[in-house]
Amino acid sequence: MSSDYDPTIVGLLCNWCTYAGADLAGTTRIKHPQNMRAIRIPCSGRVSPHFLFTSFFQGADGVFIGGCHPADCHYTNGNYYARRRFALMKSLLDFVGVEPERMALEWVSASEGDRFAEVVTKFTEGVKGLRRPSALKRDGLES
Amino acid sequence: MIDSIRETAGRWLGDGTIDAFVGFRRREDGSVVPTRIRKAADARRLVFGDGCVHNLMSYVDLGGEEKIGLLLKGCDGRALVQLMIEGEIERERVKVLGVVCPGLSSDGVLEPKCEACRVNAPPVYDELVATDGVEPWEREPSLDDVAAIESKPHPDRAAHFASEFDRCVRCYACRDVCPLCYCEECVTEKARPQWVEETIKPSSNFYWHLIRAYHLAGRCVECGECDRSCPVGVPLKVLNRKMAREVESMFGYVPGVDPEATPVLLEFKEDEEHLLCPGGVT
Ligand code: SF4
Ligand code: SF4
Repeated sequence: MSSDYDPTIVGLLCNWCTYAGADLAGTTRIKHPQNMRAIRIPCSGRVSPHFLFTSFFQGADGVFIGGCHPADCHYTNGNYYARRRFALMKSLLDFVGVEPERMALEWVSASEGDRFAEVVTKFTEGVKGLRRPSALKRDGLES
Repeated sequence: MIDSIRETAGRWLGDGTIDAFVGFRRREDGSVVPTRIRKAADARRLVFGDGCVHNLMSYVDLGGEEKIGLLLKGCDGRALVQLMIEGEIERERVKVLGVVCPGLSSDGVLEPKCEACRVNAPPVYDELVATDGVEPWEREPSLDDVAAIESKPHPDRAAHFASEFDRCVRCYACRDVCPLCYCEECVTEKARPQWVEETIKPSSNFYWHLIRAYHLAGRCVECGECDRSCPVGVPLKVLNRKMAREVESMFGYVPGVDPEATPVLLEFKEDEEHLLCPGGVT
């Protein structure tokens, strides 16, 4: 795969912070790559392993999760639980062949449009840098 | 040792301490199978030794009322403790006859599950049967199987697992034999949404094995029954062992050891930001 590799990235963004941060990045016209399909979720603590697994099998090259900064969770501590779960999901997926660059959990508040653009840019570049599609795509596994 | 197993089981059944006792018996063809006895007189049929590999915690009806006596090796004992940690069984419901396990062999070769064993006596028991010449021990078994996978580049890992999972016939023996897979409705049976496709194909098989490994992370006690039960030799234990080491290094938690512990995904610490690195973007 050449450098024009155009990965598909699923964004699971918390309604109370990162989703609004993404909105702000858009309305203030901060440039960032457009590979991400944003899905609004109520809290990073809502992210079940199925969200990652299904994203990857259905064709994602990367999954980006955005939640509220530690101590700022709208539901007090959903992000703390999310952090533990994500760490385990990531090590499992890494073990079976999904490069760690394809998964991230980042904290972005509603007022951090610039930070949103920055972390999404870095994440997208990290996935692009792998120069190959994720091995877990259903179409790839079944071809 | 077998005399004290029979004596204890018979005594507990005879004086009404328990309603049933789960142990092993030998069949006419010489093979050993798990057995549940209810009469003190049947205790003389109990055996222990090579062949007694089954995890007897799989035979405990978690929702039941009966008081059960159990013959538990180290691996089975850890399953009991993890079930206690998860609030699935009260310590008072079971009477534990622990054995200091010598390690079990088949045709002179140590069972794979025993190669990977971490502790040979149950962490909790009411009475403990000694085995001649065997001391209780704890050890850190080799992780060569995990390291072999980790030495491969990512695309090769995926190809390796895809070819291993491809054989899976989705009989769910690995799930049903597992003492920790006790969900009344398994995610494989859920239709709305249907996360795991029922059809046997590379992607759905891969999905099933991912979710099985994730659901057991921080819970699996590495008794190896999944590997032993699979009719087509899918390497399941290596996934569980990998996750067990991750959980131990991240949270310092070893499942099935301390009955007072809290399950790892039901608690958190505020200062665990290191969990996101390396690999985190920032
Ligand atoms: S895994 Fe350990 S405790 Fe279990 S049967 Fe083997 S040696 Fe005994
Ligand atoms: S026991 Fe083996 S074949 Fe059956 S579901 Fe488990 S891995 Fe698949």
